[in-house]
Amino acid sequence: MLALHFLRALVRINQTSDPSRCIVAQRSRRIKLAAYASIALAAGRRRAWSRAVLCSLHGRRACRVRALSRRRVSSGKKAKGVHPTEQREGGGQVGELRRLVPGGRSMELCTLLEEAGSYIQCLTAQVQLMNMIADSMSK
Amino acid sequence: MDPLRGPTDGSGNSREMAEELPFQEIQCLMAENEPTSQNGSSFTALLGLPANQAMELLHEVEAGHSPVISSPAAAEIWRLQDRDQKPLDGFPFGCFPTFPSNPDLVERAARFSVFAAAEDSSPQTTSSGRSNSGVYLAKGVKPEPADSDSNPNSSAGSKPQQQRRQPKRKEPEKSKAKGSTKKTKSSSEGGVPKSAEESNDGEKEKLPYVHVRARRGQATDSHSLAERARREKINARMKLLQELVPGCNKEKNGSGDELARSGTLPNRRWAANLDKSLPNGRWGSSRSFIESMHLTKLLVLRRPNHSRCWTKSSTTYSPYSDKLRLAAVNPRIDFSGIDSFLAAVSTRCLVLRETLLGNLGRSKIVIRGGRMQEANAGGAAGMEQQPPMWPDAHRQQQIWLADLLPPPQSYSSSPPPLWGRDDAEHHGGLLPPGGSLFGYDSVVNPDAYNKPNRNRRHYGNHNDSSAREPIEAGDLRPHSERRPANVESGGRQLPVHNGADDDLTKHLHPASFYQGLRSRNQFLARQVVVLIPVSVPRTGSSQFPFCVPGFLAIQ
Repeated sequence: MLALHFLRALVRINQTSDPSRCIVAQRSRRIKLAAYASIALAAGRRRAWSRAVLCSLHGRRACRVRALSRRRVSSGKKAKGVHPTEQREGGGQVGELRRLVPGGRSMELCTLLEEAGSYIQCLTAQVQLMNMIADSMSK
Repeated sequence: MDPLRGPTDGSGNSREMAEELPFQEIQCLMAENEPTSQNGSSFTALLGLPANQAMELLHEVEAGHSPVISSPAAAEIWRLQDRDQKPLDGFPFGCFPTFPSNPDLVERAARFSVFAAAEDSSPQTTSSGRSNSGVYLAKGVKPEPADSDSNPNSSAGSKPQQQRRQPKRKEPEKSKAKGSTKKTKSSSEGGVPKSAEESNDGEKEKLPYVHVRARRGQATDSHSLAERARREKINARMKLLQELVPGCNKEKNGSGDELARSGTLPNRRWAANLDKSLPNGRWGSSRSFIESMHLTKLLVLRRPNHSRCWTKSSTTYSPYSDKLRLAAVNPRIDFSGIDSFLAAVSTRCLVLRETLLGNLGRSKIVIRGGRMQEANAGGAAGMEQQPPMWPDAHRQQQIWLADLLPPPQSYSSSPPPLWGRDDAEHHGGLLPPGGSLFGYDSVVNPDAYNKPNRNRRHYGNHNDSSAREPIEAGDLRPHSERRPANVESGGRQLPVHNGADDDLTKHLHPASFYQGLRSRNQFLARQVVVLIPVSVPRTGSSQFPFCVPGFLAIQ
């Protein structure tokens, strides 16, 4: 599942970027986004972080304004509501974890840890997949 | 201890691990104290523990209500237990949703007036009737979080685990502690909040409805209870995270995660691999991936390697063969896009060639470096011979090559600038395909195999045509030799569907070529693979003769 999405995205990147002769940085950025999208799709909608990733990707593409407004409002509310209460718990580490986990700003600590666990699992799977691809290509 | 844990032993490693810890602690506690009982002795031994240690055990007993509540409590406990076990098996992610119910379970457990003693030990506990029998253990020992607990033995991590499981593992209460004086917890919400050092014995409050599972000296109001439950949940999940993050297990509770986040330690590589932030993250694997792509491009570009590849057997194409295999593994990948891309690229090349050569009437155009002219001439003748190779090359799969044969004379004049332009233009466009995961690898392979005349691919510094020509000659000659290589490459090639060849096929040489192919081709050569090797005699380093992948017309 993960591999399928990611490989398709890679193919698409190859098709779209090559004619325009994108530089490596652009391609790398696209590949990174494709990787994020693939892991979010693999995780589905069950996970808050995957929803956040997909929302951000969609927002990036089309409905930027709406997404931004939504996110602004929601983040504003939740930031006020959640951060003060949650931050006292774990200190700077928790704040850092919030930054790392997508959508972690508006999570409680419990859900944050849970989402972090699932996020880590999906990330490791994605990393393994990409390493396999890279190894196969570099041989 | 194991039988005590039996029903609750789940498949999840985390659960087992978490369960091990409390048992270890129990064992430690047991070692400290003389075990007074044998079976299920852990709990009974714990009963013998000093009061403060016994405080770790959850459950408090309401003397007056235990008998009443025992049976329904037992039933409920078992129901909870069963229900909770299933999600726990799905741990780590399956049982998380059950955690929110823990507070409810806590409340339920609190309601139970009897302790959930260990199954084995229950009779013993009943019989023991010790003074400290007031401490009743559920199946597992669940030390409370050591927030205020003076017990140094229990780790913070295990406690939440135990405590988490305690409500689930509530056993049929054989309430003994009813009469026990010892209450490890303050009684109920209505109970007076106890000071930290209050003795539990005197703290028993017999509230009719709520029995809070509070540690000794802990406040039993709902807020603190909820907070404690929440802390337990958090600690449990923190432990799971530590299991996920390599190297965190040995660290303390907080420092492990810190290390994971900072990536400063042996987990640095692991942490670096994980992309930390969505927009600006450094995707280590993607970087390595891109680097590998560049590496492959360079490998392709480098001429000496390329020439060697031509002469060598298929092993040289291992870099691409793996990719091809990888792509072949996932047959659902649609390579038609690659075909369209190749078509687009080759159309551009064709346009350029037309402008350059002024002669694109011929359907078959082989774009080669100026130096390849003679080779082209020979190759033109050899091209007809080449077709026989095609079937071998495209055994089952289709390759994307566009074979363009510019008139030989055009090369003499065209010059390097034009080529340079093409190269410059197509270099960026084509190189990625050379390094791409799928399509162009297959394109690259057949080029090397398919005879420089037809599909030659010159990447990198292919300045010396001498190196090329011998190769071409060599290619021309040993068709039979090449066949196995081509076969291999063909075998390795991806089944690329060429749907977009139409625009190029008209440019391709038709009849003779394909007939030649058909003559020997039993396979499908559904695609025309044309590589347009562009080797510009330029200065060494800057020269990038590249091969424009063409399209092989579908037969």
